[in-house]
Amino acid sequence: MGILVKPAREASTARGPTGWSERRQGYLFVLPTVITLFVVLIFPLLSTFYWSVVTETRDGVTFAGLTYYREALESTAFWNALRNSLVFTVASVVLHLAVGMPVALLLNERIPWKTAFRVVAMIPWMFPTVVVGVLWAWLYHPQFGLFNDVALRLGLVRDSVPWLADPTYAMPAILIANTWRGYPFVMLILLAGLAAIPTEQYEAAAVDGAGSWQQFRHITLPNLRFMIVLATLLDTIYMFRHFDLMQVMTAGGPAGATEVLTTLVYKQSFQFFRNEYASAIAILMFLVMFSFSLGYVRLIRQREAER
Amino acid sequence: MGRYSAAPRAAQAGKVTIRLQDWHLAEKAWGAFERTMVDDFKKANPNVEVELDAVPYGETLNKFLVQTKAGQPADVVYAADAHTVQYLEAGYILDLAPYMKLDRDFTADKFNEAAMKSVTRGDKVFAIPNAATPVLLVYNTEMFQKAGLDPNRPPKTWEEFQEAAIKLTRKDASGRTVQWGYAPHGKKVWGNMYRLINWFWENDADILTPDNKAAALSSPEGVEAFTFLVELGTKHKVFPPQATDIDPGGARSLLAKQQVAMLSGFLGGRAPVNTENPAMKDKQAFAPLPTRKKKVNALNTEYWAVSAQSKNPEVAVKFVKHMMSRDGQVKLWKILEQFPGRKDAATDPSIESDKFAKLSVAELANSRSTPLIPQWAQVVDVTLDAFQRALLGQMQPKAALDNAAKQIDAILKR
Repeated sequence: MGILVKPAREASTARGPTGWSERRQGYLFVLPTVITLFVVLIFPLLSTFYWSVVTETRDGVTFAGLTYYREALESTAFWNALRNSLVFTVASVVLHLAVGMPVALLLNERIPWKTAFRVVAMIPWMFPTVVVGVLWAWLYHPQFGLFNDVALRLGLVRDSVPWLADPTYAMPAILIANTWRGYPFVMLILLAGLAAIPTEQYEAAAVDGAGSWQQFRHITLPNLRFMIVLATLLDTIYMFRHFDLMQVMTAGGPAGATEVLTTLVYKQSFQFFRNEYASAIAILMFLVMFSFSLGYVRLIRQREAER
Repeated sequence: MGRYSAAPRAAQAGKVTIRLQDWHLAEKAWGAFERTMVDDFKKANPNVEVELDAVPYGETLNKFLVQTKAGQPADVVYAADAHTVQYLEAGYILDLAPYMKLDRDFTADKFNEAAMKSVTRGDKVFAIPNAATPVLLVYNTEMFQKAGLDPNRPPKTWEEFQEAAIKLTRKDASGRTVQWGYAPHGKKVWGNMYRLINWFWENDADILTPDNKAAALSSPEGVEAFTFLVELGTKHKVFPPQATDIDPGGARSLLAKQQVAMLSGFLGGRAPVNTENPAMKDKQAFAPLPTRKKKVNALNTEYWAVSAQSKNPEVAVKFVKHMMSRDGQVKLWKILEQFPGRKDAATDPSIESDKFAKLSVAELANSRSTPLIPQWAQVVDVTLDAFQRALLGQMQPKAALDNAAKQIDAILKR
């Protein structure tokens, strides 16, 4: 039997019809992607870093070093926003999982009108986040909102609750809106994982007398482990950089109770025109998110190694 | 600033195109008005084409700044006072003084003095006030009557105001508050500062020192004024529960839906309230702000400016003159109820015959512009943050102001 596959070194130096080596041709094929990535990813990142270490005045640009980073790290507003970002991220991820998992399990069962239910379950995700923010802000309105109206009629509260104007309720209120909007993402990932679990495992377990909970614990969860971790990691990255709901519903208020890093960057850049300081905060955010992303890359590599 | 000043050049022959950037172009009524004015200008100047750039309000500042940096700004830009100061400080708008000297109908004294002061640096004038409106007390006359108050005698002093606000706050049979005396300005948005600052000024206090180099809001007079305002909500409970989340539009909506009896606002807010609830047409009244030591109100201004990089500055200035003509300003009032920045337009019979428009004219004499410094947006944010924390009970009013003063001093020192 002859050699069916060329060794890698031989393949890279082999020449195609153009006369170019395969390696060179390969580089040519990935070049558009690399250029695109550079334009939309690398250049903005480098540019943001540049603007975080300089100061621009009408007389020109001067080097500022770590001035703005120091300002951020010494600022109570920054630490407040970082804390709120972490709280929002962790709570959102947990809630998305807590709602997404049971819905995925339900939609994985043989139920009538399954397809229709799946579409209905996806509806919140179809709304642009800004629309969700406006919608829920109205639902929470103290005088004209549905929630207060129902609560008052049922005698659950004596006076309207200012959901978005009270620091105690503002973040939980946004989290509820975000859970409604975001659970389909986790649900979809878990549904894909559930569909890949061999049914023979459940059949065998049923034959052995395992009940629903045991099947869930010993078959479903272990098989879904990778998907759960994947959904968690991706959701963490998305939630940490979330902006729309906070900005639309509370603009970071009241009294900074819902100010997260993204709204802080927006305020510093677009309302105060302190682009250098905003860039420093953005780079610090990037460093936090980069560490989350490393976890994601490690997970994918582990998965590929297992295969 | 110096390199962007230009002496008037000879008028250019041939077709010229200027670009007009204004968020109002996207609004139904204002957009229609402006397009009519543009058409009139084009008829009078057949060699001129005017491109319309309807940019959303939230993007207008950034778009002009970015386009100017890229060397492609609009020739004529409409700007809120907050935006105008940014353009001015960056050197992006043209000194109009040389053009104003050439036209008797366009001299600086034709326009509202307080508004002009904010955009004048030495002998240079960088923008023209299109609409300049004082803050007034807006109230529901029917609610006044039902509360046993005389709607023709709105409160003149703070004490009268407090008494009225308490009477106008009403509970239903179950003890639930269904009507509040006053809609405060608690959300951290620029427009709320026009309302908040009056309380300081009326008590002879201020947010900043006269040279705008240090915080002044924690003075004894400032603390007294702030405490009075905060206690309206915390002690007398005349504010709706979402006080920290109310912006100018939200306050008008509460007035329209007859949830609040009074607010601080502008005459230009009358039409939106009536549109939202036509039943308010005969119930909405305006009065001078109640006062304590000084009679003063904040002036809200919007400006026309010409880009310092305009390739057709003479045509651009001509367009601004057209918009700021007496006729144009009178139309602005008649069609949009926007109070003109031009003084002689304010004497038009259509304004003279409107009781509240006449009041606005009279109150202009007590108007004062908010400090238009580049750091003002940050000062506004810190001050409104103090208001929120005091309203929420997180800090006592004095402590909130002391904390705000420290932050403002740090901001101004940068």
